[in-house]
Amino acid sequence: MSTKRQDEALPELAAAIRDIDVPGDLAISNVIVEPYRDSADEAALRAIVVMDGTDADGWSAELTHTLRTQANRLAAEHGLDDYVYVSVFSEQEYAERENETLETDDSTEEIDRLLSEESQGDQ
Amino acid sequence: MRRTFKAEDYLHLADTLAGRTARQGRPRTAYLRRATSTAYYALFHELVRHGANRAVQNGPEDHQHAIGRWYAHGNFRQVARWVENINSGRSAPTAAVRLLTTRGQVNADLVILAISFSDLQDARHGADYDPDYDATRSATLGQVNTARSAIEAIRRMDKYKLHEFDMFLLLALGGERMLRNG
Repeated sequence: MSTKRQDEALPELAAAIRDIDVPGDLAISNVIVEPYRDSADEAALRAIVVMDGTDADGWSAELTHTLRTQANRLAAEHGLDDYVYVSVFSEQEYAERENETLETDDSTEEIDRLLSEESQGDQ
Repeated sequence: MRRTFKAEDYLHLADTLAGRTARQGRPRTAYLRRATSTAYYALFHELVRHGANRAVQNGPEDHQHAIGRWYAHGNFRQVARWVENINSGRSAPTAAVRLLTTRGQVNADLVILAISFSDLQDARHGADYDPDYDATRSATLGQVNTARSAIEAIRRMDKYKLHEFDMFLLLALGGERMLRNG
């Protein structure tokens, strides 16, 4: 696909992904599709999907499977051969991407305690 | 004595590192990156275990270990990509289409496995090597959810002895080279 054609196709694909009917209570608030080089250094696409909320247990497998399969079907329909990787963010997480460094909090102490308890239990 | 591990052990460790049970705040980035890597390896080792078990069946355990070492990350990725391409309406090698589908359709669990593998492998690569990799708690826990879902899909395909799953595992032993003489 020519560069000009891809320039036109990526916003169209982003709009189509935004219309995907996703499972759960959250809705898609924004989608950006950009060129990407994957872990094998192959040309690919990355869809950044911003949701209008978050899930304390992490994005559900149902949500991400739906987004990944539908995004790739839509890309094929738009004549895009490159595989589409999907990254999901909440609106807050997406806004935080502009920060150089993020403050972490003491939740790691709780994780350390859990790991320590489990390793002692193995002995 | 062989010290064994199960996919559930990796998933539990990944959950803990990503703060699923701690339930507060944002864990350090290093913890989230290790959780992503651990979730990928839970899925990778489960695939290898099933590939070796289904090939050897009731044969000697050391044969399973030998075959398990033949599997490579890149070959799994290639076969997963063929499944995804077929499922999304893109082109794939004729032999791969013939072996991985029934009446032109890909089994839903095989699609879950393929798409989960591709995304987790790419995320694992980012988490381990890319300084710009953006690790968030919800995405990291989502990757553990994805790995758990894919492992459940593997076990369903194993339980029902899905022929296309056997073909997936067979093709993954050699990736593209397997089709050259097809």
